[in-house]
Amino acid sequence: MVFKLRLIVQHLFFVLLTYGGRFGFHMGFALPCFSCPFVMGCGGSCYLLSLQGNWWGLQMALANWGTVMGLQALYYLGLFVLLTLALNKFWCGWICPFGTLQDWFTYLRRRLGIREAQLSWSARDRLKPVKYILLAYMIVVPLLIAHAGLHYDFHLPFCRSICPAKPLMPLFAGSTRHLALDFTNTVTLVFSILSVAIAGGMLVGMFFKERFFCLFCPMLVLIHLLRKISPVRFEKEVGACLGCGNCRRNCPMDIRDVHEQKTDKAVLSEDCMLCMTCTESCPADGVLSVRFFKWRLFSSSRDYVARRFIKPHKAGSVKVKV
Amino acid sequence: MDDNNKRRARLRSRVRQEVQTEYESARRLMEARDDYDPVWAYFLDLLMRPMDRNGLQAAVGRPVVEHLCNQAPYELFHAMGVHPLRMASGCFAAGRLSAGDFPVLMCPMLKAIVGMQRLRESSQTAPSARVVPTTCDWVVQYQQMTDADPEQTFFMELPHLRESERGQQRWLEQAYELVRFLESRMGVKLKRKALASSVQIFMRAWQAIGRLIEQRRAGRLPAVWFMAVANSFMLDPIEPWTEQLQRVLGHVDAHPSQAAGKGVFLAGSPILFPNFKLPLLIEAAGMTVLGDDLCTSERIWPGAVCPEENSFHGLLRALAERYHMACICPTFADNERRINTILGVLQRYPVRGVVHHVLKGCHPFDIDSFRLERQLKSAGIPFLRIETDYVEEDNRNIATRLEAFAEI
Repeated sequence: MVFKLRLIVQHLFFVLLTYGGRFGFHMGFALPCFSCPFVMGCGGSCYLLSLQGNWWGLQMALANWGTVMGLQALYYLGLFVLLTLALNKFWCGWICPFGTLQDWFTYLRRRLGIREAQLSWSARDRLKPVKYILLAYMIVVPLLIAHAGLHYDFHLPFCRSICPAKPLMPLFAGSTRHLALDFTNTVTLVFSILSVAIAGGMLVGMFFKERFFCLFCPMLVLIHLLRKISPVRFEKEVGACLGCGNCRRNCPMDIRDVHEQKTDKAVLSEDCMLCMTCTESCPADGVLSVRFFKWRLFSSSRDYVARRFIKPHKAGSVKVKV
Repeated sequence: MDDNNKRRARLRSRVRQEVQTEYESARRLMEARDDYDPVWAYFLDLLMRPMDRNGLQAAVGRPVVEHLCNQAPYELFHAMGVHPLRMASGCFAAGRLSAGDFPVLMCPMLKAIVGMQRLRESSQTAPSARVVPTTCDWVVQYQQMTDADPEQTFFMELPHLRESERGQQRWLEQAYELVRFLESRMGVKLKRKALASSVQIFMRAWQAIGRLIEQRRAGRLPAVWFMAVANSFMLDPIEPWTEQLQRVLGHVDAHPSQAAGKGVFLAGSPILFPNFKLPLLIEAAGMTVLGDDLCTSERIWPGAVCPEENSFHGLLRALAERYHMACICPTFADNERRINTILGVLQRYPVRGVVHHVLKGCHPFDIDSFRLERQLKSAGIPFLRIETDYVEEDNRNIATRLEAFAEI
């Protein structure tokens, strides 16, 4: 079962990326997922830190073109590109520790039988540009620090003021310090207030809406830029789709494109995180498939749906009051 | 009793006899087939049940709620402790009983439905309620046609645009309305657990019928037997029906018949027992139906109910969407995916052409058949449109056209 395999992989990477550093395991500073570097002893660092960082960021590469420091910035960018090409959105749906944390909230809500909050189509569409704005924010502010005299207190703008992983993920390492407000000056205070407030809001959002933070995640945009040259493919046999809508309804990201696509084969959309929930719930044989180069990793089928969604029958287990 | 009433009573009595004869001769015809096996007897027994509502009521052991279309989710009724029974009939004689009160060019299936209702004696158990999804123009006139008690009748307003947000929301609202209607009629509260259990029970039937569809498409099962099984759906409680279906699967696995003649796909208006005229004529013309998109056959089970969310709302939404969005009935405005089912079967199985069945007066299928014909012919797929009524007189003509089609 794909969802069980995904659960295992997610939890394995959660442990590795949260505690790996304590055992000498570290996957570098260019991971295409929210493996938060503010977690003491983490096993890898999110590339967004490198992207914004004063020493490794884009502004450093531009300002020091051809120097060792500039090359180092390019090295992290290259590593990020390589890792993204290799696994593309699998980083989001299968590896990202912050994604796993969100899935725990969803699991809890489902266990409690609480209904998921549903966004209207127009609200969902209006949220789409937010991640681009956040990406621009984390690129422009370091450039302003480097070239326009913006104060250094604005450094790491996304991590320090927006990203909910920064205050929340260190809790798993026993650290509550990122929940504290920083009264050093107005900028740090505003940043820390924003950070804690957003984290609080995200906690509520994550409970009522599956993968709530991913709706705003700028990493999705970066990964999506490389989809055309990545060997990871998500395809739809458009001529065989019955339009049942299971893919759309079960998608944690409320993606409509897969269901609505009637002409193009490629259906890996910007918000997709390759969790394969849609493929698992598609009852039409071979309509949705995930490929790596020419190899088919997983494909939809009626048989799979039956195994996934029908519980083993227990005689006399059903009692309906008449 | 005045003369008019006496005449009506005499007519009713005569038609009742004719209906009885029609059902029994259709059954005898099935039993006389070379490929008949006792495993089919259960399903043939069920097909006779519409004539005996008291017997049916006793067999299902629950209050019966009639509905006019597959769009009303079966699982909802089941979870409420009632038995959903589809009002549908392929009986020629019953249609004659009501024909005088309706336009000539009207859906013969609806005439037969009304006829069967008029035949029902006062001693026979009346349904506890009726649910009418507003699919085609004829169906929305149901209240006027039958003088049904409005208190007992619930019209599910069917949005004819499925792929719009508004359409999906409206249909979900209608599913909630149906729950409220049934709760008030039956005096029970629908529980999440009961709904989840019913979803499981019907998914098991879906799984079994899926295997039978595969056997039929592989040419191991004659179309008339598949249709007999499909037509008997919900004429018995779902669990024993599914168990019998498993027996059939075992039988077909052990004794597969070989498809005789060219494979064809049967599309179009519903075909109901005892009116197996067209599938039998197709068979007689040397062809075999390997797949269909009839709402009384394969299309009873389109898509699948796959709820990731197990809250009450999540289950109801999954159910509503399975019945609404997976349906390819031409009463929907956005129905371009209908051809996908046909092309899918054509690509994977040895199907040589499409026979499109149009019941006289079934305007949605009639209109859609022209679009389908254009699409299929442009793809080089032979297409034959058969327009017919609940009569035997056009059998020779249809047989000749089918024989010519088989030669292509």
